[in-house]
Amino acid sequence: MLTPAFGIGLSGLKAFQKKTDTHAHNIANASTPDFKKQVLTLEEAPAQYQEGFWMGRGVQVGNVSRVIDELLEQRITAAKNNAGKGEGLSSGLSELEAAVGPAISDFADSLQGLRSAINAANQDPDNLVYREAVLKAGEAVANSRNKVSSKFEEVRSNLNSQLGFQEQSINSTLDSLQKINSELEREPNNPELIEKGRSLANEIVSQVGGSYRIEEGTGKVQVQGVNGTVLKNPIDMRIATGGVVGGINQSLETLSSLNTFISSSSSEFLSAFNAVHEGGTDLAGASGKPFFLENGGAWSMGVVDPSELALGQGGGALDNRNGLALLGGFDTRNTQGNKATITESLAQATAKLGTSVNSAKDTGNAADNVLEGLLSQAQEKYGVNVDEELVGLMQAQRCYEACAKVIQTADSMLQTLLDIKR
Amino acid sequence: MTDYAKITKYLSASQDRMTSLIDQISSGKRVSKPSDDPVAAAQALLYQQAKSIAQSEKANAEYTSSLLGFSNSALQSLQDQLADVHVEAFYSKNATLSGQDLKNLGEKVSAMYQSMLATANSASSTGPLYSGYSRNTPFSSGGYAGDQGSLSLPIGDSQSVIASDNGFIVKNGLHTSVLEPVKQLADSLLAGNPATPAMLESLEEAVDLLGQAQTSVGSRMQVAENAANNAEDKIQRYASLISKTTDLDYGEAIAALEKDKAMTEALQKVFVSIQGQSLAKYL
Repeated sequence: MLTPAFGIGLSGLKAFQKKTDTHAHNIANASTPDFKKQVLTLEEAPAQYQEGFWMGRGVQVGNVSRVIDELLEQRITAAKNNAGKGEGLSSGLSELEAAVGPAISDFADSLQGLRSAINAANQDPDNLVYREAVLKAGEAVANSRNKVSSKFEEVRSNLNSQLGFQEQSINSTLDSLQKINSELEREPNNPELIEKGRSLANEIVSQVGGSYRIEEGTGKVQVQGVNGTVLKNPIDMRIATGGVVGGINQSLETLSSLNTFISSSSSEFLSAFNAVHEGGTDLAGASGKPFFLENGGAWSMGVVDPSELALGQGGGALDNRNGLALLGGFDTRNTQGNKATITESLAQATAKLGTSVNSAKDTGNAADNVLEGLLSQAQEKYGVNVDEELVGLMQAQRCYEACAKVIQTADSMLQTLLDIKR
Repeated sequence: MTDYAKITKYLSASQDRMTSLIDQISSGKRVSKPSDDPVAAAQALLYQQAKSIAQSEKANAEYTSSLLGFSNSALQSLQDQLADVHVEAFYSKNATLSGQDLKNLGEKVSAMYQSMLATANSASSTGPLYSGYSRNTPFSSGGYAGDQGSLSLPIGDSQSVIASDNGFIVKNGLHTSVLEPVKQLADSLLAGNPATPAMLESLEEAVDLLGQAQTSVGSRMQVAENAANNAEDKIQRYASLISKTTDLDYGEAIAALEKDKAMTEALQKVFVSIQGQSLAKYL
């Protein structure tokens, strides 16, 4: 009746071999992203009725499973969506600020330059040197106004090309997910495939927002966009309101609204200023031409000859009355919305730009913190703790040795029995 | 989050802050882009505008002062010359003077008239002092060739001041009230006739009128000088506001930098110490 001990020892050897494998696998994947640790469950082997007793028959591997908290996973996905959006928005707006911020400030400076030049010309209205300086200052205003527009366009085109690259990468991730899902069709519920799919889905959500769902029965992972449609290659980038793409889309909206605001304020200033200039007379006594021209949003000088600068109002060479009126042109309040002067509008645009950058950064940081908190929970739940794994490994090693000892003991007992017979 | 990840995050945040502080220290600006302080960045644009306007106002006030200074001396000189003319006019009434004496006197007054005409026609760098908007030489025996314009300039607080006058700086005009009576006297003397009481009266009235004009010019000069001082104050005030809004407080920045430096060093030490905490080391 010594044979069961061999079997029991052997079951231990097998079980602890598996336990060693599990710990080794966990340690090997300690820094694999999104890895969820494997947990091996041992259970007692079914007992056998022998000679009036239920005798234990050793140990067996109950299950090798991954610990997954689906609710936590969904929250992580939502947080990745938000963090992605924060990242897209704050990088988009920072780029906007870096390009447009200095241009707005230059535009405001050039307006002060024009005002000063007109003021100097008012002191000596028929002095061609001063008049020339006014035209130069006007040209600087037109150039800096155009620079603001071109900076907006530059950022818009950069963000759009960024969206283009993003689109390619998302489509290729969607293709990879499609492949995983086909494999899951052949091997339903393969946990490793599901985790790979989940990881890809999270990547997609952090890019375009939405959520994912694991199909019951097969374990296929599907990413759903805003209106519940399953995302497939080719993806429609414009509808993304979440993830990095959603953030970039929102930056583009901020860009457009800021551009419209500055354009309409500038155009109103231009019309008011031109109206004053046209109300005056130049050195030859002729009515003023439009000082600036605006063609498709681009500014240029309407007056190019210094003698055509309309500083007078029908008086002689030293008439500066219209020059004084032109100074008032800078203080014209626009009729729509903010009722601000051009400089006030530019100051408002500056404040708006700075505030949106900061609020994007704050929101982004908050989303990052939420995500970090959730990832840290996940890490505690199913991340690999190398120390813990090492302890488990040592334990498995000792148990393995002990089981080997059991077999050795059984063997020596059997030997003893055999020796009696001899 | 693992301790490693936490420390890496804090280290990178602290290094980001240090980079931005070093940028600020090297540029001397606390606000170099709108997001550094949106309100301050916007405010700075408005302060810049206000400062630039104040600079223009100061330039206008100083320029006005200098133009009015020319005008003031011209008016003073006209008064002085007029007083001399008046002396000659009074002298012409002396009954002992012969016809030839009166004619000689007439020559003298005529020369004085020419000199007064030259004074009234004197010009600054901008143009004749009393021609209005016109660049014509304003006065001749034929009359006034200027217009009624006057060059005025803004000098602050929605206030403008007339920097350059026209021929009507005195009542009825310099030509009619001041120069013409001198011309009439000269013509009368040249014809061998002494000054009439009416002539003397006009000359006296002209002196009064010039005095009034000079007072007006003087008070405008005063206004301009005050305005120049006010504008200078404004420039200083806005410059200091701009500096306060956007410039860096070095003390604060360096203290913050020291703090971050200390924190970075501490974090690095923590990193080294937890790096040693691994069971694998003892196996």
